Amino acid sequence: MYYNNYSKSEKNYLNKGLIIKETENKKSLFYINKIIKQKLIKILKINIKIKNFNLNKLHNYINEKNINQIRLSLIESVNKDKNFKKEFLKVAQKMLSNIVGNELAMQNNINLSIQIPNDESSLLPIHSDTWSGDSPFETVLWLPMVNCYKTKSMFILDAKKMNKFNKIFKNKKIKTISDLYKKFKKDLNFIKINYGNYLLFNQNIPHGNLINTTNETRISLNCRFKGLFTPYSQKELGSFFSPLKLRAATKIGLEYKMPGEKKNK
Amino acid sequence: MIFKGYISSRKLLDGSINHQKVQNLVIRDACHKRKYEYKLSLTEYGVKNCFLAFNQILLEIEKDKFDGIAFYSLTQLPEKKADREKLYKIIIKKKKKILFSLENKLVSNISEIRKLENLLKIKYLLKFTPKKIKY
Repeated sequence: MYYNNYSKSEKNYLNKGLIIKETENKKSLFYINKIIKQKLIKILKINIKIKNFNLNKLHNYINEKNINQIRLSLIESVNKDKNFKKEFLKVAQKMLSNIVGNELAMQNNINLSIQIPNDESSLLPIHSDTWSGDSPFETVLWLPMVNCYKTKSMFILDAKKMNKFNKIFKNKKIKTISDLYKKFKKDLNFIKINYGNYLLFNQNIPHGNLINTTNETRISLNCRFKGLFTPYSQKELGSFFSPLKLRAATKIGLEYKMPGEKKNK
Repeated sequence: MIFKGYISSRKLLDGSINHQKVQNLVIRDACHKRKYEYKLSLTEYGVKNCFLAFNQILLEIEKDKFDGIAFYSLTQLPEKKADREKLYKIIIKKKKKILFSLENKLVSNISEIRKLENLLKIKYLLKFTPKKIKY
């Protein structure tokens, strides 16, 4: 029997390709924010108190040349924190369970974006993660550390335009990624989301970012989740994903031996 | 000298496929050894016969946004010669360079392009030769 009595959130996700909600656990959000600031202060070797550190003004401490190195150091450093992944999950755990399932695989390392004003080096042109080796069964949890709007945020295609997009993609006049962007520019919407909320989105829908022309820096985290037993693409279980929780029935199944068979030592 | 990375997310000409993380590491290492500044890679879409990212890089190198393109491997080049020639024309005209990181080959003039084309043809033909060696 197949049930398709979807919840309101599921319908939203299916129709719009995204959900924006208030984080489910404020303590977890504050923990994440504190760790990011703490690690950044250490990496940048700056003398500032956490409570006075405004991430919107991060561009006062970094530039286009060292931004990627700082970003990579920060990713490495936050992922080493033993509670970081657990707290990250808690900001949207119930929704993830609703949309993806309760037996999940989670990306091994939580990713982090830094978009300082007018930086050309950190751009992600229009793409769908599925075109670059991700499984279509994945969902992205995107968590901003600052208020995001206009070019400080990311854009995503209006989900209703997916059919049009798929038809036009192979048009011979579209030769470059810039052509693709120009063709769909009017159907791309910048996501307005404030600190304190999370975004869960369908990464099969084309999305990306432009040069941040606001005068504030964006810091956001992103992490992919999928059903543990759904198909993997190039981002495999082990090298890219790890099981988050095994349900009791799965654990029994994994350990089951037919009568007379020896258990693996 | 600034080199823009170019990686793939589908099978290459020789049928191989490598993790993007590995492709980026190989490019980063090749650029580092030659003291080139490595600019974050653009990933070619996995859609069959799609070269939107490749063409985008050509567009940007023509506008002098960087000095060279750092490919992961020469087997990422388009199978159609006309498409490869678009790249070669720009390299010659704008005096740019192409680095094939896995093969550690730097191409910047006509004679190197000829050698590269020969190597590519042989690699392509190898797909049709016997794979097993009988001793």
